Amino acid sequence: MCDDVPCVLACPTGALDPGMTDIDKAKMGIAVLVDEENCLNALGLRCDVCYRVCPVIDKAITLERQHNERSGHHAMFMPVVHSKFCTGCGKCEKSCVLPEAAIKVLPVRLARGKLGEHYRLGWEQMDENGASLVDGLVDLPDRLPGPGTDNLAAPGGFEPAFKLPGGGSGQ
Amino acid sequence: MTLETSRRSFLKATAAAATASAAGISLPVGAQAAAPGADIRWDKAVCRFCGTGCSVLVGVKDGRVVATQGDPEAPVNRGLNCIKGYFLSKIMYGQDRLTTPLLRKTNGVYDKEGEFTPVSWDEAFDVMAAKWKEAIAKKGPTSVGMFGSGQWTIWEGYAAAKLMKAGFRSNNIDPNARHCMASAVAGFIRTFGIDEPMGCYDDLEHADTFVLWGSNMAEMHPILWSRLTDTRLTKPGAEVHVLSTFEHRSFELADNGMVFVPQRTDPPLAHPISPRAISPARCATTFPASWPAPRGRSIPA
Repeated sequence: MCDDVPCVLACPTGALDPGMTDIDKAKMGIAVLVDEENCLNALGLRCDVCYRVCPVIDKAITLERQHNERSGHHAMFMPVVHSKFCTGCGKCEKSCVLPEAAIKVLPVRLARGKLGEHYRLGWEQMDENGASLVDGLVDLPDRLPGPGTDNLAAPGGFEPAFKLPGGGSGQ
Repeated sequence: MTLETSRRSFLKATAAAATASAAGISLPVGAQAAAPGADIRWDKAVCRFCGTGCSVLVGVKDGRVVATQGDPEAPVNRGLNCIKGYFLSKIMYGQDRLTTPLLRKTNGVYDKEGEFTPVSWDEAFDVMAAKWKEAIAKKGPTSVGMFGSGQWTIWEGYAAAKLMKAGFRSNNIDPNARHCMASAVAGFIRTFGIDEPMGCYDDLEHADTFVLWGSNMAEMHPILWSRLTDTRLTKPGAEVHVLSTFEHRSFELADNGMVFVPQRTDPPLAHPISPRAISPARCATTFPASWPAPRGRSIPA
């Protein structure tokens, strides 16, 4: 992408925010793979063009590998846009090889949903915190067959707490 | 009017209609999706853009290729193509494809610094012959050369070699194969008795461990890479090792990626492996009688 943001420099009326000096922070829109039926990668082919032309490749857009059920022994590479890094520059839409682009830059309001305020993503929270959010959690052993198979570091089995008369271990 | 149609011929007709409209020709009314590709003749062919060899069906109408499709029944690609294969029919008729000889000219006269101008075949051959003879007369047979083609037929190659070596007495003839396949072919025939890399693509699903030694399959053989990726994703215990002189796209799948120092790392890595790879216990001990006798050292019994 442009380093010097020439559109802002050229704008005579100030309609383009003169405070925009780092193009990576721009949010002109968000790219969305709108047509997963015609997208060649979604069909199992190997196009990859929108991914390859993205100036923020591997951050704003990645290829997620999936098993191709129809062919049985190929992988599919689905283009996935990550809105945190996408500036909406539109190079993906321009380079899409289809007569009508399958990936389009949409206004942010149309491109995005929103997670409810009442819910947090556990794995992200734990990453940010560096550790579990709750101190002192105890992991009790799982009841698994045979000695030495519980989930604690130390070997040993889960023996029944009571032995019934007659020698049976009971349930 | 009832028309018999199958899903396959419906898809063929739809593909043809779309491609035809993109190419600027119109299918007759009734040859839309309703009439299943009645006007298009489909033939099976191979995409030659890379070494994979995806199978394609080529659709011809009125002497023009109007559409292609990956052959859905071919085990190599099961109807898939890479981006180059997708464009097979369009590349053939691209606007910038050469259709006449071009000669650099200024004001209608040959000029080395001039602009490319379309000329007739006669004029092209006349100029070529004149310049060729001039060069030989001035500096001898080493001053001319022919850049041949690995895509020549055997007879064309033979004739070209005779022309250059016996005719013009020049050794300067090499095909594009000199860049890679010439040495590979010699190596294969010496070692295995047959040209072209051996192996069966089914091994991509049967094998557990893959070593890419200098190969960048992710970018060079996209459909094979799709298969290798699928095996790595779905088969427990599958491993991918990628060895190259620079980090490229194939490294993304690698469990073990090694970047070589050119011409330094290959020998110490290959030497310990070779005796183990060709130890007698793991190989047939008799060279098949039908293969040409290997030159040089014989395989140890």
